[in-house]
Amino acid sequence: MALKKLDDYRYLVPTSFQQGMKVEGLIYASDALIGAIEHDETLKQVANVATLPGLVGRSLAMPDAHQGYGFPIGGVAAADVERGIVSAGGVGFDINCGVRLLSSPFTLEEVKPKLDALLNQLFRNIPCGTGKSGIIDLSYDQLDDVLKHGARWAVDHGYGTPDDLEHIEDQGCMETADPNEVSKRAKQRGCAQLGTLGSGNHFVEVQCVKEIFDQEAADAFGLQLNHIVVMIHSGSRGLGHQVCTDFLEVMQDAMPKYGIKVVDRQLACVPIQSPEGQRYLKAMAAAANFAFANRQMMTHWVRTAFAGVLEPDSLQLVYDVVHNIAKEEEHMCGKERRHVLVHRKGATRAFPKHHPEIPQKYYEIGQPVIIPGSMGTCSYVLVGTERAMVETFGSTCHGAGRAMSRHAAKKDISAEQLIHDLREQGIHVRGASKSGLTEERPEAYKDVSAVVEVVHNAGISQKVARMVPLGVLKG
Amino acid sequence: MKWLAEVLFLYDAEQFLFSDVNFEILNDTTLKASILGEQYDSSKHDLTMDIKAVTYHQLSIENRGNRWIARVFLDI
Repeated sequence: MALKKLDDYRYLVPTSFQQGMKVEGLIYASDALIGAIEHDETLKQVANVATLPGLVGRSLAMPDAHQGYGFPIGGVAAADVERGIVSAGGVGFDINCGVRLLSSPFTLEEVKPKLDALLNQLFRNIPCGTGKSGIIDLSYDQLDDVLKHGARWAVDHGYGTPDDLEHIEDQGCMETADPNEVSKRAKQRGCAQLGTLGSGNHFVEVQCVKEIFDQEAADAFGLQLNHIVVMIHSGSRGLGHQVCTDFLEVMQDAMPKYGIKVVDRQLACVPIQSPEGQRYLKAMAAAANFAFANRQMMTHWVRTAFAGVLEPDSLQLVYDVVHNIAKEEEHMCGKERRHVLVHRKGATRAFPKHHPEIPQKYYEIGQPVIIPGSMGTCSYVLVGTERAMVETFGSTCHGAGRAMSRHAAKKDISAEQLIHDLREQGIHVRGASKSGLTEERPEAYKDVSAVVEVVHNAGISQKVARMVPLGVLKG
Repeated sequence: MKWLAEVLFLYDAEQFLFSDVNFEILNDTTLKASILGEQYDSSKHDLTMDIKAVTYHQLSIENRGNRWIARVFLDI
């Protein structure tokens, strides 16, 4: 049984698509994007997720979806909190990989002459790339405090202001965190990495607001045309990766006890209310807090760089969103209000106006959704909608989504050529690894604008602003 | 898989890079090996990416003549 096109932006994966599907799948895509989704394993992975016990609604894939491990990247799946499962693979290895946006009062003309100096200072301030240790030396007791308090720990230690916390998903701290559920090995991997950007697709980018689609929302978010903003994309580093690795093992070993069989080992899962499920959620929350603290510390160093080259106290945190997480939330499922655990793997929460979880400042507007593009292409700010609450458990896309393997991406272009090409377009690049740079070349990703058009036209979030890059610091 | 995860752990937690492996025991249930290497030194080693994890994604192990070939995907 093939995919069923519902409208220009939605494709249904019927339960007859694959044996064992307990719920339908729904893929948000245009005609142009569905080809890429059908081309790799994404479709099969959406169907595989639909075989898991206790799912509510549909197994969802956003328009930036691509093949992942077990769950697709760009996947959303909600499980009934009492009867459903939690899957470590449904969150992914980089727990609370996320992105935040800082607004500035500076115009493009003010920053342009100082851009090189600014990027050099950012490169000096922020430890990035493989094998790079953080600037601070943490004891295991201090690390436990980070895991318990997240961004709040960072603010208490001089990285940023209490006002920042108001503009982070969960105020930068998942209260359910328990550092005792994080293994010693995870702590050993993470201890030296707090306050580091990492490698791969993680970056700090200086951007300029090029287009405003929704003036009221842009005003509320502090976004002005032709003004400079800074985007930070990073996660929980080795600590989060190890938490996922540890609990994939725990879940695989525990599954027979609960009579659960999965079609792909990376989908290993346990009942949410089981001891293993509860332990995972506490460890995952601790890893998420590590990532919140990490982005908060980098925010401080971005501000220090701006203070040195331009003016102090100039950058405001617009918002910080989480891409890889499982969260207990209330959602309407048909006419029924349900308490569900929403797995978002490469997807962003997109709550509408008047939702109690979003900052007071944005209460009449909705939650900012920050969508990074690929290196050299534009990025977007969107706003959450009621429609997302009805259809996607308050979720939307998270970025451009990979279209080319890392290997293919670096095959026919040198780092020097890429840096030169980007410079020709007015984009300055600093990168810890040359090979890492070419893997992130713009052609390796789907067209972020095409992705954003789908979520906008489908109504699961609305466009607010478009930014273009000026300078990129790559891990 | 656990053995590979251990090697990854040694790099990420101890910054230990390995260059050679001597298998001492390799049977259906046990893998024991000595790995030779050195401490990561940014002036000597040019590393291009972090490895997040060793995955079970499309894991395959097959016997080809007198050799066993395993295919393992690493998340990067």
